[in-house]
Amino acid sequence: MSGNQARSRTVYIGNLDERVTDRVLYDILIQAGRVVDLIIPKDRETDRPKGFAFAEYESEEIADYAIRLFSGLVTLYNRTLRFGFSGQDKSSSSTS
Amino acid sequence: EVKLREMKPGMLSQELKDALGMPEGAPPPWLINMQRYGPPPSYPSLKIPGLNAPIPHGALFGYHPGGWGKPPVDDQG
Repeated sequence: MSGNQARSRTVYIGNLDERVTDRVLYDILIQAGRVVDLIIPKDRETDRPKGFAFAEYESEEIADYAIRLFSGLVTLYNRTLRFGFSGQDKSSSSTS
Repeated sequence: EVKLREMKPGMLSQELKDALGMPEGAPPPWLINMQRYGPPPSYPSLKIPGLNAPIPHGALFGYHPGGWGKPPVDDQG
C-alpha cells in the first residue's frame, strides 16, 4: 500500500467487474459512512463501465476508515476490489 | 452519477449478499475490520451484529469460514 497518497474525502475503487451494479457498490460503500457522491465512469463509445469508481465521503477521516475497512476484503465476481485515496477532491489543495 | 438513496447501513440487501457470495448466516467480510477499527464514525448509534449487537441465532464467533470473528468483551476486557 502506498502511504504517500494525499488524504482526501474521495476514495478510488478499482478492479471493478463491469457486472457490478451501482446499487451493489453503493450499498457496500455506505457501510463505512454516508456517501456524498458516487461516480462510476463509463466509456463514452462503448457505454461500458471503465472498471473503477470514485466515492466521496463526508470527511477525510471517514474516507480513511472506509479504505481500511474494505481493503482486501471485498470480492465481487472473483475480483478483489482495490481501495485508495483518489486525491481528486474538488476542495482539497492540489499541487497546481 | 448515481442517484443516492436512503439506505440503511448494517442491513445488507439480498442482492448484495449474493454479489459478495455470503452464505446464509455469515457476516459481511468487513466485520473483522470493524471489530479491529471500531464502528463506523458516521453512525454512532448504529447497532451492528458482532460489534455491539447479538449475532444471528446459530452463528458462531471465530475466524473459521462463516465465523463472526472476535467475541465482544465487557468493560473488564
